[in-house]
Amino acid sequence: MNIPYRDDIFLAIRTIRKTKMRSFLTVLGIIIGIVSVVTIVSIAKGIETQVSNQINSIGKNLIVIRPGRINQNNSNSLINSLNTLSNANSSSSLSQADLNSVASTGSIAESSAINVVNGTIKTNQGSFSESVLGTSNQFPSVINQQLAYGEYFNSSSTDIYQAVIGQNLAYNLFGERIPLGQSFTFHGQTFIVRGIFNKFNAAPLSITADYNNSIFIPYYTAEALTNSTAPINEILAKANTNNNIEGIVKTINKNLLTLHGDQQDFTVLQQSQSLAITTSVLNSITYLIAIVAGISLLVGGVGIMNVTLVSITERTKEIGIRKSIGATNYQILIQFLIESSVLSLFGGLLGVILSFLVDYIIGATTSLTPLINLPILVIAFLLSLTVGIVFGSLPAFKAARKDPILALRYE
Amino acid sequence: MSIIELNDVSKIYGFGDATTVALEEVNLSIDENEFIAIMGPSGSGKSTLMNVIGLLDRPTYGKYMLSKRSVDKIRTNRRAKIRRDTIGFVFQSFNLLPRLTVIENVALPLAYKGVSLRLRTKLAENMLERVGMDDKKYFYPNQLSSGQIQCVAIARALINSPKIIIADEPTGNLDTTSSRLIMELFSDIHKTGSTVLLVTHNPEITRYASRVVYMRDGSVVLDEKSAIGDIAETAKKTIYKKRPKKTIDDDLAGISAIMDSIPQKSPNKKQTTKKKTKTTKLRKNKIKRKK
Repeated sequence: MNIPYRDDIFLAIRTIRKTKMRSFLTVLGIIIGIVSVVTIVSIAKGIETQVSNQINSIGKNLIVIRPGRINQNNSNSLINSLNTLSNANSSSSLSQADLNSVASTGSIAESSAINVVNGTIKTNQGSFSESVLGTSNQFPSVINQQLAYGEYFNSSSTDIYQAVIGQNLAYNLFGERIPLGQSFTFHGQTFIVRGIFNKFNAAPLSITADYNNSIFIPYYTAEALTNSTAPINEILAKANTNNNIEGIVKTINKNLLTLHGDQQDFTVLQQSQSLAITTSVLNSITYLIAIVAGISLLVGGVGIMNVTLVSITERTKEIGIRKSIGATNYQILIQFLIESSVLSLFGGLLGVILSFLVDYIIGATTSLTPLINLPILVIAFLLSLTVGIVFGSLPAFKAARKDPILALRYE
Repeated sequence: MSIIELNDVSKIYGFGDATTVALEEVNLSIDENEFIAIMGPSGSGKSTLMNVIGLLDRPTYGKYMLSKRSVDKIRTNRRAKIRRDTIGFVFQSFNLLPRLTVIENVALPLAYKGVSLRLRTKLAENMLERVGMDDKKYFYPNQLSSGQIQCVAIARALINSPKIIIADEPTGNLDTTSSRLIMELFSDIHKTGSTVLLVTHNPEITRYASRVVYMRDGSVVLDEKSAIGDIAETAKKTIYKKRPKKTIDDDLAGISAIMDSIPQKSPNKKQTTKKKTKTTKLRKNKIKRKK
């Protein structure tokens, strides 16, 4: 088999093996650049996977109604997509009437509003400020989640000051794993912990709240505490079918529009859209940071150019000899281009190996789960190859244009 | 049939006051299968002549016909290919690539021609066998003696079966025994039909040549036929009459012996040509300025 330029490739590899330290220092910039780009992209990829897992575990038939309008037009534009998150947090325009309207829509099996009550929680461990959410008793089944211990409150209970907590809070608030029957004070009332949720499939940067750190109380309790002023943060509704979610979303939207006097001051989202929003926000951030990280690749490229220039001066004689025995300018050019490309590919390889290590450490020490997949690897190698070719071309042209006689005479 | 034909070839380096005339209107016609020794003191333009003939350099003025084809106007890459296919170089300083093994060095011209690895290795092995170096094929040049390195360099020059072998003082860095071995190799090459051009300082070498060309100050001053096996008549004069004593004066005497035995350029020769060429004008101007 005759691979084109295989001699040049082998020679370049041999050179790297002979001058290990020098080659390593040369490609250090490339290594750092590749590690940063790969790590950032893999973190983003990991988050995207986490969000999509979260959505899958909640169920594709969940419909979320949020106050405010999320502008999804122009989702290509960077600024717009960055703004979607802040839009989602605008003060609530949803009311109890909206919940009733959603609940009475055909094909909606269950629904629950989420009111946010602000305030401080006091337990025997101290004071905490956690998000307290008022929900209906249909909430666990709407978001498709079981309780690990105890049970969810039901409307028949006479004691309205009861609560269910997310798993992360159990230890934080009470210092024990299963704080069933423990109590805390909130807005002057004493609440009893009746249940603890299983761990929610949380994801960083998801527009769905992290329920692992939330306290759930009945919505009527929330209303009682705040004189019905607690804003409805979102309304969750679960369709009884996985088909035609789009149609159901449209129906809900139409009904709510009528209620709101034709004002689109709310957004009805299906889960695929939630994913799309997260992805678009994530992508804009990722690309920005990756571009900044990519600058170190430029620095690495300049390093390669520098060393190749020096090496070409060192090897002037070699170039002269090669030309005297019949190498064309093009063949000399290719030789040095391949040398710089192999060098930067070697840097890319080291960078990728190091990225796996960095990602492993990130995964072990934070809640992020970076994910390196094939496209990321391909991009990393293409990037380093490009850097090698771009920054190797100037020295290679210089080498190719050397005068054979002067080069031969060079000592 | 002449394979190399130089017509009034001049080579001038530099600009203005700093010009150096390396070759001055050299006329030389070399037939196929000649063994030409080129002699002359340092700076007489021997190497420049070799570079021009070997297509490494272009003449400033004049015409160069290689195999009846003018090669003055052809482009650099085409020149490289002609160089690869028809000319083999052997240098005084060997010029093997230190990072390649012996066999890789020998096969390199074939690689530039695009010959497959397997065929190239086979051809290089045959060639190394011919120069008696086949047992050293995986050695690196720095593991060999100078004589062995020059054998490898000759193998590399021969690998493309070139019509012309150009050797610039190939025995300059070698001891007598190795020199003899190398010259036997050149003699063999000559017998197989190649044209050999060999620059040398050593009169003994002219034994192998069929013709000796003497150069001085960029011009060919004498061109004599010489029977193979005999030292050329003029070259003979440069040999010390008796073994020199080891003093600096004697060394200098030896050098002047060489200088004296090669005839001077006749200054009147230029006047006989039809008109003054650019080169002579330049030279005249330079002499004037010196005065």
